[in-house]
Amino acid sequence: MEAQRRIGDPILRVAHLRKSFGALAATDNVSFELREGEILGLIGPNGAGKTTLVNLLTGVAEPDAGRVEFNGVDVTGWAPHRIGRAGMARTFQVVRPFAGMSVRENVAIGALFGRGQRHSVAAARARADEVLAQVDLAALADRSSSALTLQDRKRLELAKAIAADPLVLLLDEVMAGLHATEIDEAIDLVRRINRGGVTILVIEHVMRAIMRLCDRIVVLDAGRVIAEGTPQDVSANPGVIKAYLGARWAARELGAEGA
Amino acid sequence: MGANASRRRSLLPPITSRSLGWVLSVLVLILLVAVPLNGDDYWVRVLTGIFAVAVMAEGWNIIGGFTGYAAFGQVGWFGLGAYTVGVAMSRWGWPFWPSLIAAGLLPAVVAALIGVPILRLRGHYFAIATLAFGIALGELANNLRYVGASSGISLPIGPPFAFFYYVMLAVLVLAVVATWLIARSRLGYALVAIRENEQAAAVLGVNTALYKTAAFAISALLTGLAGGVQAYWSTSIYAPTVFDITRNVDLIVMALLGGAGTVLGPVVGAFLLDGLNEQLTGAFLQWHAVIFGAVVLLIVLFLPGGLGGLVAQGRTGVRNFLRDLKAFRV
Repeated sequence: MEAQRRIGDPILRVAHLRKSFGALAATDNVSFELREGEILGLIGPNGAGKTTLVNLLTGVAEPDAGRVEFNGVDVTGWAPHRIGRAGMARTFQVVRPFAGMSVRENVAIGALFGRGQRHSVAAARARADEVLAQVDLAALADRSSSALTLQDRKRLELAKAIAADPLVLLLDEVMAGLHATEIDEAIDLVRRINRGGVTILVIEHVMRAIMRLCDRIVVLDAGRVIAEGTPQDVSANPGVIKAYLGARWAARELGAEGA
Repeated sequence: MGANASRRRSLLPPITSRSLGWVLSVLVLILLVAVPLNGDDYWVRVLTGIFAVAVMAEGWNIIGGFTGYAAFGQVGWFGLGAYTVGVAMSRWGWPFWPSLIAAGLLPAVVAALIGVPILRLRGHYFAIATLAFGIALGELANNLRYVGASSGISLPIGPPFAFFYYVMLAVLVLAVVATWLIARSRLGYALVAIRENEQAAAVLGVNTALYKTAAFAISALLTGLAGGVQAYWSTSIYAPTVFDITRNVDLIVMALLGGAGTVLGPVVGAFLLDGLNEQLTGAFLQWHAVIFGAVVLLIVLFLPGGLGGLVAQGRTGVRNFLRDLKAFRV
């Protein structure tokens, strides 16, 4: 049933997606493509509609209009679990570990119910151990998931998603709150996951990470796509500098002078 | 690592406490099987009643403890099971065993049907909806002439007490074994994930509506079986007694006391609290309810996470009590 996929073909097509909360258009006629094998960055100032977009793509929220085509199938309006099972996995900006479960059991959920659908608990736990080794959490497999540091909770959030064997992984600010070395480790980890054959959409405020990590970048502002292109193109785009980078950089320059 | 592992609440407790639990359970089971042999009718009667309550607490545990949906209508399934056996045996002349099977199946089917809409509700709204449904079933039984309205149903006189003792014990064993199997299956993993974060579970591919409904139906099935046995044992049933709504709360307290979301916790809680209630009633006829209430309050305040939690991680105190209330959305 699965379409033949080739590097560079669009695996996720978003067309004219729209979502309003009252009078506020959180997502306003958003269209873009995610191509097989790439790491696409999604950036924009606070309130630009990035998380809403991820919610629309994963079925957590329903769009008012527009279309989401995933791996050749129209998945608009599908329930979250069907989209998850079809191979779209995500992390949450505020991590959501299953608190009453161990780290291993958390990851086993992805292995049991995601695209890879392992039917036996034993097979799922074995897969969880593989993934935990991949994200350097193997030593904490038996710990309660509520007793982890922020960095480890972010890794766990990633591990749960990876264990689902997704085709596409949507990362909603997995680096927020991490310090510089941890960010470098996270960048390496995301690259490794990508090389393992997972197409990645990454939302991030840490510009250094976005610029190093992404093949292409889509910029959102006030619910609309205002630019799209390589990191170089986007960072040179006057509209983007004005809407997003400009304000920040200006603030930083001023701050540096003041000090 | 062994020490660390034992300090967590988990689907699968560490090996040592697991085998100890099994040895103890089997010993207790052997003792219970032996009770009717010495011909003490008092204990046979008291224990049969406790088994019934333990089945209800374990039934609640599946939807409330594992899935985190605080159902307040468990007594509705008990009454529905009781009336199923009552109607099947006295109106339709069915033998006991097929009637008992129907007493499990009918609540399960009804739970699956109403579960689809009401399991979309969360927290207090779900609690209120289940409570209302349980009350409505009781009112229906109390007013429907076909099921005897307020005069209830009289059933054929059954075998001696020991028969019901063993059947109720068998239903309890079934409930515990079913819960044990669920706890280590795909279903159990799905239910705990739903309890801890439903949306996060859904995006990982867990069909939350399906698993919640399954949990609700299994919970109703087990509880309905206990009601079915109770009906034949009592030989006459009345809506106010088999649909006694005050029991809904007792069950939840028992499950929380023993450890909601564990396999044996709710059964242990039911034995302790119902046994205590029985002894208090005998000793202080006037004051037993007050003393019982005070004991429940103290236990709930100082044993959050239940006895299971105490054994597993030594968590006590008001802060943890509030955390547990939140965790199980009571």
